[in-house]
Amino acid sequence: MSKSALLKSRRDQNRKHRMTSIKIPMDKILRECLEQDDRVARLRRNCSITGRELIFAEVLTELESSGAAMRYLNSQGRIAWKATPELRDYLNDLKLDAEADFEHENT
Amino acid sequence: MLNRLAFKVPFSTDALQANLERLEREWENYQTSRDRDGIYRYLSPLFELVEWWARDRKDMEYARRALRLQRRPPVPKIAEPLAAIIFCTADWEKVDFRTRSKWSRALRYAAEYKDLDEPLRDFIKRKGGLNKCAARYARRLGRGGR
Repeated sequence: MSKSALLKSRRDQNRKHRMTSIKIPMDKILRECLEQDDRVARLRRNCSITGRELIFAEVLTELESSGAAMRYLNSQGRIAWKATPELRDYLNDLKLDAEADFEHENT
Repeated sequence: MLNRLAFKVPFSTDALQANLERLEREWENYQTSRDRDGIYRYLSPLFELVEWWARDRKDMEYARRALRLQRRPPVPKIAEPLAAIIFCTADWEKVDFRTRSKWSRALRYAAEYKDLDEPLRDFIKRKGGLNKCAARYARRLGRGGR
């Protein structure tokens, strides 16, 4: 493995560690959306927990206001987050389109 | 820390509006469906929404905010959050006061006795349906019930 690839891999591991260090209960779809947000991606290793929480809160607020995320009580009685049915449907449509394109290109 | 963060994320007016619009869409889906249990497609997300508001102890506040967002006059004074959100999201010409009150009582019964991991539909059906749950609420938790 080249030095740059090794560094990139370590950076990714660090990023993953940072992402999981704040355990907000949320579903997989929403976590992926959050991880793709620029502000979350720019989180620095030495960013304080309060700083990270603020950024997470900001992104979740935006997702909720746009109708992409919603809160609910999970089975442990905690307020958790999940993707709305609209976001799920939208992503599912995208996936079906991509699969159709892939099949079309291969035939 | 989990709940602390969840509580810290403010519930904006835009978020409230987005949630109300989602419930309105569920109401329309229910209206167009021929499913016998279609009502739960509307009542389950509504219950889910008010359930976390109640956990946050903000159900009254958010319900009042939802009523204030309504543009159709006259908006009645509805003290009960579930009934208020039904008023805001269902067709008020089809859902009269009595139906709203019945659904609200059934949902309050579920809020009191349903396990968190049991789907609302299953619980209400297990207890005999919406009418029975509303009656159970009145008997056990309503006026003179406690």
